[in-house]
Amino acid sequence: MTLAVVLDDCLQRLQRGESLEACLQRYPAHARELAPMLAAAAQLTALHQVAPSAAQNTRTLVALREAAAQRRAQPQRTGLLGRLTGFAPGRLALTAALMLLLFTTFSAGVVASSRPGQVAYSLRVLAERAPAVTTFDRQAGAAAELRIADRRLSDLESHLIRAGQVEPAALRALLAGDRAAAQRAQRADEVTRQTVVERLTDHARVLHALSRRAADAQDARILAEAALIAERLLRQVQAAATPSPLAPAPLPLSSPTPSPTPLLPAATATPGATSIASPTATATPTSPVLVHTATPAAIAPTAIGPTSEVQGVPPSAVTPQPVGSVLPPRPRLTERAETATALAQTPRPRLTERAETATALAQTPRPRLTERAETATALAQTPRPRLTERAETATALAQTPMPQSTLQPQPADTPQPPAPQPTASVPPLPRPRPRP
Amino acid sequence: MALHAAITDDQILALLPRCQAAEQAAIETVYHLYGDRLYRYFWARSGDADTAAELNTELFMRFIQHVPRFRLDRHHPAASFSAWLYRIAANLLTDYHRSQNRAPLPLPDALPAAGLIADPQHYAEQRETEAHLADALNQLSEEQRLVIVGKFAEEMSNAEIAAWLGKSEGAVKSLQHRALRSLGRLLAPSSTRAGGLP
Repeated sequence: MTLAVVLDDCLQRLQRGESLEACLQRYPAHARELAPMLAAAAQLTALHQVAPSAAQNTRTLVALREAAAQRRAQPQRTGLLGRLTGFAPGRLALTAALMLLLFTTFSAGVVASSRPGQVAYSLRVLAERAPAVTTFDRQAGAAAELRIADRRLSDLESHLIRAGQVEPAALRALLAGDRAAAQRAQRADEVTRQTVVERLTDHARVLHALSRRAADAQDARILAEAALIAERLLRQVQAAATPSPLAPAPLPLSSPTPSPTPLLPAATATPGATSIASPTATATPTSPVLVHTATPAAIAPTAIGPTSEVQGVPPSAVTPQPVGSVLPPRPRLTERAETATALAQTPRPRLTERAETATALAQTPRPRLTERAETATALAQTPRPRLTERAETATALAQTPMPQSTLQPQPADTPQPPAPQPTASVPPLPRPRPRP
Repeated sequence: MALHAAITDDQILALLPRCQAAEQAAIETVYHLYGDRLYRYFWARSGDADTAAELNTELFMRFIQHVPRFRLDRHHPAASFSAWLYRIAANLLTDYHRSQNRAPLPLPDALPAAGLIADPQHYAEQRETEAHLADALNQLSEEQRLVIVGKFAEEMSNAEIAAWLGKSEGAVKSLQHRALRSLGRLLAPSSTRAGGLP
């Protein structure tokens, strides 16, 4: 036991009232060293007698009572939550911030991994579209909208296959993306417009296919209406396009024969009814009538009247489409149709010039090609001794009888030619391999 | 050696929530528990009774102000509470010495609590003893002096001193041993008779 421990033990014994002599007798080996230290400790008890006077105590207590009363009158800086949790305000704020961060991270993970049909899917749809909405560049914005619309279409399809139902959020987002892309494309360059046209065509085609696949009649109707909306957007983009000789022809979407996808409006007076109505194929200003070649049983004409809406899709996303009925006048569309017709009838000097050039080129003598043709003809007529020789050899071989072991039985009246001697130039015939 | 009873963990655990609610009775109880000890601490470090009283009052004012944000060490409630009060005291002393631009004063010649001593002869002897103690304490290192003041003037346990100084109890015992060995030499009758305090 060290002297420090012995000393501490002795001090505690002195506190309990044991005498100095008794402590020294308890530790005779350390008594000589302990004696002066314990004597000094005994003298240090004088420090204990130092105390504030009664007047000083009274002054301090009065000041404390006033301070306590002021403190009680002040609003509590630590709220109920802080008292319950045992956290100081600063620590409570930090804890709240950390919890908020954790919650946000967790929620973001849940939203990002959500699938159609889940509660968080609507948030995911909104969150994913946010960057596209905030893009100011028309080309980039249209591309982003189309990209997101593609995702929604994929979600829509997967959910329809998996759950057999239409996911309203995906359909809403798809149509919203298509509409935004169409609006941006109308003021964008030709390449962007072409891209949008192609994608909208794809979307309409897939939506038609999904409407055929839908087991529920109402889902089929919703999808068919969505396809019509996509086609209408497609026509808007096409109408906004500046006529160009390089502009591609509209992509065919439906066949002229009655089909399960009869919702495509086809102009009755246009032979090319297999394609989406081009500007020339749309109705005339005086008769904006769109007649479907057939009406599916799943779609009642009264169900998709001008006042009908796609269920689950906001009214802004759905424009009522008449089916098999006379449409009300649509001045904007009429005006666009007139413009398109006029454009189609306008002489196109550049195309004419190109056609004339092509014709002239076709009629222009082409000496090099003629020369090549003559050379080829000459080559074709040139005797080819090696080929002739091979042909003769092959003929001779064909007339040569094969050995009995390798030949099939021949009729008895067939004369057997003599076996020719193999020549160096003719390889021997392969022998049939024995089957395992 | 008759020291005051130690402050228990249960006392502090019961008092602290009431003090945080600024309950007057709880605050006065804390003052009665710690007031004398902290006064002695200020007295030993400032060397002036009036200054010690002012600093003591200021300490408890700060206690009322800051106690709502104080959090106990659940394992050592009383020790952590004492250490917190002495930390406030140390800050006050630092501010005081900075404002006075002077080092801690030696122990005063006259005891402030003169009313406690009715016998003048005993009072004179007490003054002489205190003078010797002041001289001897000034010979110690800062840590040794703090241990002696905590142990004998403020009646702190080894655990409380350890928490106060941020040391282990073993280190406190060692400091206590070295301090008492020096004081035993400095306060020995021979050195007193020779007046040989260095």
